[in-house]
Amino acid sequence: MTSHPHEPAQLRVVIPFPSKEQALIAHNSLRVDREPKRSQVQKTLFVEKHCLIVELVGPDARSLRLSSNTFFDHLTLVQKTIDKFSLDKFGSSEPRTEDFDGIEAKKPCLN
Amino acid sequence: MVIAIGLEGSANKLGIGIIKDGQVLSNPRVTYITPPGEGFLPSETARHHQAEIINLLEKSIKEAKVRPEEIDVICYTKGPGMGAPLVSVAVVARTIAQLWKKPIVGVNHCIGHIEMGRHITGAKDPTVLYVSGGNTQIIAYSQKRYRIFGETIDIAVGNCLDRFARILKLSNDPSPGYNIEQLAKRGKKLLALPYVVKGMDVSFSGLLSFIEEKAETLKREYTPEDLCFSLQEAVFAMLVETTERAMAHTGSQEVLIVGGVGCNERLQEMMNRMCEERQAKLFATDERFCIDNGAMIAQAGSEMYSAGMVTSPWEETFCTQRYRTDEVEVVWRND
Repeated sequence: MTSHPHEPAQLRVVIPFPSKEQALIAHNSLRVDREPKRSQVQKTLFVEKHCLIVELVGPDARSLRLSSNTFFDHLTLVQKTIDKFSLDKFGSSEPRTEDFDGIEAKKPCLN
Repeated sequence: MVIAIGLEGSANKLGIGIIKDGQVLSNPRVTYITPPGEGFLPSETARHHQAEIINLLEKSIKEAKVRPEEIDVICYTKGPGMGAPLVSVAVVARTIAQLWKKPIVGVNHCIGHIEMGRHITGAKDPTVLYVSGGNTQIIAYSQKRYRIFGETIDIAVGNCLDRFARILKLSNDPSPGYNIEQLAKRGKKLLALPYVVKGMDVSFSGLLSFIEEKAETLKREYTPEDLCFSLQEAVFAMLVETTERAMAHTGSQEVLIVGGVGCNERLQEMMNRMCEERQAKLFATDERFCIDNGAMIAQAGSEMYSAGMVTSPWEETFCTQRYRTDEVEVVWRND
């Protein structure tokens, strides 16, 4: 994150997903809502490979903090929904192994 | 045969309901209840919904005994309501719509109440009194629109009641309005309060200001029971008058009360008295459907879906705090 007295503050977060499909689902769920009217933060969302990338630009660190906190709350919600209600996983009584997600998530998104 | 799931969270109630061909298969709900004397704010309400929605969604599906693949359409509350809570629910709706590869329908909250009320009670073409913490409208259907005949020009009647409950520090469990109603039943002395009806419209903020300012002095002469009783008599009489005015205008012989305040038995009693005088019939639902719930969103959404009204393109699946009841084209009605 950069913050300079005469430049806007910027925040860029790269969120790896287990698959590109999941990243696209998250992207679609999260790109629809505009920032609240009083917020001066610009939010840009896009997908690269299996990663969701969010870029926030605002007047100061505080505004970015507010905006990113809300974003992460919603991102967490999307992630939990995907984890629990994906068709292949839903209703399964067998314990799921977590290894798959963990290994995939460690793949770098950027060269 | 349509199976619809509805997700509702525009205020402090989070509800998810599943309807199959008009039959309610499940309709669980959780309420964000604040301590006495406090109201609920958007960000904390959103956090409550975020914390509860995954479990509630699972509960709704399990109780309905349906598989996600069997659900035909995902319905969510587009508005009106509080921004942050609305978005928290919409984000989940969008996600399951993608996971299960189903169409999505954004539903007007008020129309959810109306359609559920019509469906449950069988009222054909009633004059609707929609009264809740966030809305107060008198609605009549005409030519593909739910027309707003009259409404509050400032705060909703439920908001007036809720804020008065805060002054009295009444418990918000299960709701402030419910506790006002219980106290009112034991009220004996009637205090004449400002009665504000302006043509087809009503106004409550003056009445609230009056009772807020005078609360301390009034408490010496009137018990909390007397004050609750007096407040209900005043606001409900205003609602009965304006509902009757709408009925006279349209020649309607049916009244349907929807919204959380519609649970109130005194309001129902007063409205029924007016209806009997006009040989009209009163319809009301119980607290399962009066109070915000997911099934009502599924019901209205199901009607919309069957009429081909899917929310598209994807950018249209946003939420909005202001959403007038008459903005929606009621395609599914043929009368």
